[in-house]
Amino acid sequence: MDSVLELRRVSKHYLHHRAVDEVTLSVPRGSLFSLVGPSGCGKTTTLRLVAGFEQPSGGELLLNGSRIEHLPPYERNVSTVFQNYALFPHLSARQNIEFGLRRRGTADLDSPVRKVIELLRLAGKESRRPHQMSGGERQRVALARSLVLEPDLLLLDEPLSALDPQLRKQVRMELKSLQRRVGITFLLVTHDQEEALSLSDGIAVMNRGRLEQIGDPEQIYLRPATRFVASFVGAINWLGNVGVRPESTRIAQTPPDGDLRSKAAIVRSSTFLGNCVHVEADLGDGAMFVVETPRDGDVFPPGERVHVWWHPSDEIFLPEQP
Amino acid sequence: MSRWLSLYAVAAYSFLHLPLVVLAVFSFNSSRYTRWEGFSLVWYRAAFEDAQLGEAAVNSFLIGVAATALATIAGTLCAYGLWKRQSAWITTTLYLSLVTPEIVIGIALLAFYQWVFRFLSIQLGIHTVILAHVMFSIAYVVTVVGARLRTFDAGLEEAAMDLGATEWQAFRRVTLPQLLPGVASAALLVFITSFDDYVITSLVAGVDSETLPMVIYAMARRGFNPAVNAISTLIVFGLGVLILAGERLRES
Amino acid sequence: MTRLRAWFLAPSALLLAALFLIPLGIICAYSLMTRGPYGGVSGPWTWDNYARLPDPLYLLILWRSLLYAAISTALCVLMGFPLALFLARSGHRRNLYLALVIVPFWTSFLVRTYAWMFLLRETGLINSVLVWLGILEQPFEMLYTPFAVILGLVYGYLPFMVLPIYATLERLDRSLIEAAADLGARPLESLFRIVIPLSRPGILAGSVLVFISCLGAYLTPDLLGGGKTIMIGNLVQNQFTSARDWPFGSALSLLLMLVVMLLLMPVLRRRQEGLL
Repeated sequence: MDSVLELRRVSKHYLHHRAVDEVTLSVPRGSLFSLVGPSGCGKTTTLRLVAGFEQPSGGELLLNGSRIEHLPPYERNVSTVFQNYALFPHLSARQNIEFGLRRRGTADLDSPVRKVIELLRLAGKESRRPHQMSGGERQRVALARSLVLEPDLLLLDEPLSALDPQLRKQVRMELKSLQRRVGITFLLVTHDQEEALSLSDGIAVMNRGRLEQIGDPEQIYLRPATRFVASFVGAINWLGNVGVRPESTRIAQTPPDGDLRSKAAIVRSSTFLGNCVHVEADLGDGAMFVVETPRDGDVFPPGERVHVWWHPSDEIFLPEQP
Repeated sequence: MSRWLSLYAVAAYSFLHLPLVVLAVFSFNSSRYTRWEGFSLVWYRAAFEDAQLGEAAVNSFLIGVAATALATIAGTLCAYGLWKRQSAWITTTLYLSLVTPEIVIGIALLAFYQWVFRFLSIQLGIHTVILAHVMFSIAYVVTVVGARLRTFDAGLEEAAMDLGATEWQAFRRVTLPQLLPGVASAALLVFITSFDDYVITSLVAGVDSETLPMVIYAMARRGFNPAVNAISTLIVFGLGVLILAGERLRES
Repeated sequence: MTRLRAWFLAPSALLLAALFLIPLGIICAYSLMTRGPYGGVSGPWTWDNYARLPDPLYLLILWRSLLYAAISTALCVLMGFPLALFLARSGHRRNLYLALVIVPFWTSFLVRTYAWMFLLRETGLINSVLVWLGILEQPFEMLYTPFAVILGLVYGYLPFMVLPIYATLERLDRSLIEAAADLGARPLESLFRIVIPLSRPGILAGSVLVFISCLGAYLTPDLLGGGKTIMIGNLVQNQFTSARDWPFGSALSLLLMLVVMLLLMPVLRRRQEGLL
């Protein structure tokens, strides 16, 4: 597939640590691609390398097949939506949106600005200053300001983290449909695996500066390449070399029949999570095993002897690292 | 751009420092003219042997120490009181005293002292200078100590009182020790300002209370005297050390 | 903590009332009185001292004070902004560079003014060097000129400009500059479109501080202007010493105070940013 952005063995070393370590990655044109990982994993540094705010210590960055690592940010046709949006506080919404076009010396400002204001439902808010806008409006101005430049690639640094939790799920879907409509490639950084799984066409999981796995959301969740990925994208119980997710597990008073895996256990505690109940059971070796049970199902009091079971096809086989 | 900025910074720092460096260098010149004729300490000896300079230095030092002690105590207590609860009157007066031109403070104090002397048989002297210095220094102390208090956790005092300390004990045993670096840096600031002041001091000093800046001013007006270079170099060096010490305290 | 608070505030309140507010009150009263036969102050109450202010001689001095203060402030902005920018971008050595601005600022104003006397005199170092280099045929008097006074004011108060600008630049969100570059602004465009507009509060605060300091300057015009280019501060001092016209001197100093207060209004509104 045709890729907009390619990273070839890109590294960023600081005095005492390697923030990004030989990352090779290509982002398909027109996709919504996520870089995901815990804080400090190097995902934001990677984004800043692409934007041009940081210089790589090694490796190559290609945008549409041309090397860009020597270009300053203002000569790269990529644009960033900052985590705090970085709207210019002394400029109105409209002036913020016009800023990039004016730097390019675009003669006709009006029609592209009007188009993007409409696209992001900012009509009537043009003359507001950033401090007079809600979080959601600020985010839309930040998006508009970047999109009006029609960049080859839009970079989004934790775009939902500054929003209220209630707003996040809604904006998540809006972001996805916006990407589909404008057709510009989005490269998004997030620490929230659920966000990445629900939004993305492609995901790259990073850990300690290194790339752990690249794939689509299903691959990442169902066929994680490493134990780190398996644990990072969702809860998982490990039994030696085999992992099984709580939602693939069942619990019963008697051992199940047929071609199923099962283990005897003692219930230790239950946690009510709203949409389901997590039962924590002791397999006898001290290891806790978490089972997701329906909210209105059987109740398992602490101390009860039970059996936990699952289908072999739900097992994730990943050997422990030596 | 950053290269141009660094080049500019070199020029700007030269502008700020070269005049003092040149002054210091020529204080070691054996000639009295601005032509280098060899290293010599002759002007330092001249400065040290000058009885008037010596007396003025002692006066300046005494005034500085007394003004520092009084202003630091009053200002620290005031900053603490204001931290507990603002007082628009006191804050505004402090601010006003900070921005009033020195010359206006000087003549107003002179007029005040002359008015008071109608009722009391005292005269201008070291005490009037000390009071003047205390007055204009309080605002500095409140500013510096107040800045330190803004980072102080009010919960610590509440904890102290919760454990049985009285208000005074809470201030004395918990808050004050935390403030000490700020208080010390304020004291240094007051001493430096007091030691250096000319405009106000010259208006409210009596015949027996000439300070070092007053003597230097008179010498500078009278004509060129390399002994002034020597004493100036000593002052710059001495105050410079104090300022650096103060900056250290403020950062700690 | 309400019982003890009064005792904490009392010493400073008393000192400020006795040594600042009452003296100012006396000046206000004197400005409405008449000069006595031996230089003292006596009745009757009169507006005469204020009526004398619009004299062309005094207006000239007031105008000169405002002009010199304005020129010095403008020069301080031009010279101080880049230095503040350098400080804000100077990285891990920032404290050292900051100290290099602050230290000469606090070392003796008198000595620093004297240093320029030493440099600018007819037989001073600058003249000697210029003659030696063949740029000048003869030394000329740079001291006791308007140039010397303005130079002294700029030299004396430049840090008043640098420190507030530096404070706003330091608080400036770095991502705004990155965003400007990201949207295609070159460094100079970003400087003029983003950095300078956003440091306006610092430039304003610095300008007011420098302007009022210059306006009330006494020592600089006295030593570097040598009585030829006197400013309003010198005029005030003169009324209280040699001229012995205290009522008129009081009126003059209240005029000076009034101008200072008017200039401070915009800064007072931003007081929460700290006194300096």
